[in-house]
Amino acid sequence: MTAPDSADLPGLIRNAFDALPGPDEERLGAIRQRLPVRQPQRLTSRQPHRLKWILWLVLLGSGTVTAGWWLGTGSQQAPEKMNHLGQSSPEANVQSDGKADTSSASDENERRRSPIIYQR
Amino acid sequence: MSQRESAEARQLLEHYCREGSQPAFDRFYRQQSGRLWRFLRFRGVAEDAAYDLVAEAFLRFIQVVCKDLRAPVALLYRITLNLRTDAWRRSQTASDYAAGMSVQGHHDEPAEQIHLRRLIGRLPESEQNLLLMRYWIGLTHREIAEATGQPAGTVRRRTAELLEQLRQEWEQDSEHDGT
Repeated sequence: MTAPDSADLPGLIRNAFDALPGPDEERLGAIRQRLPVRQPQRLTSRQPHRLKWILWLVLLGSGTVTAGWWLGTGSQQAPEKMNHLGQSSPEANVQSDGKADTSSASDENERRRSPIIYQR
Repeated sequence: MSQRESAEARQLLEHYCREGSQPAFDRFYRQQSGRLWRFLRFRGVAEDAAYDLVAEAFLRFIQVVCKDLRAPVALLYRITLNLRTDAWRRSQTASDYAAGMSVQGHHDEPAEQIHLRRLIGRLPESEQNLLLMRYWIGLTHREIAEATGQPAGTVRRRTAELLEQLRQEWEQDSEHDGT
């Protein structure tokens, strides 16, 4: 029995091991029957998971944008609100020549700080 | 197992994992289970123990295969080798696992096939695994590397060396018989 070439050996190995006696197909079939049946769950369960993440991201983004907008415009509207209530800002007490009228302005400010109902 | 068979095995399992296709898994099981059983028998596992190990290997395989479908056959053999090692350690006497298949096949089998199995059977177990996974089961070097935890380059070099070693031993045996 002469030695084969190295190139022939892989084919010989395959044939040599395929020729080994095989298992009892019925026993293998019984093993297959006992294996658990898999439901198509991977994709169906992952998709809602992804959707949830996207929804959370959209909510977070819109929340951030709303907060930013409110901070930006809300701070501009605050002095206007004060004027609507009839209150003057401290700059309003400064006269046109640049000097503040301290005596009369302080009395008037005292009155204006008190609730509106008492002014009437 | 050729490249085509390897690709087919992957496709079957993709079908199984995505759609829960039982026929696809049945086909994969039929392709692999018989060969896995014979692999275990040649690796020295007794007949009944080989069925048990096939069952346990597929049970574990089915639980993890859908997480990574790159090399399912390599994964199956990695699980099997780990289970076999565990079983060997559990049975310290190894009486159940030492009664493996002899190198004898069918009575009308060519003598060179029997001789080749005898030569491979003389090799250390890890080297037998390399040869069988590469040239019988048909895994790629990379897949064997994943299954055995060795670098792919080492697997490539070692399988080539083992082939040459087998050829040389065969030649020595022939010279021995001739004298």
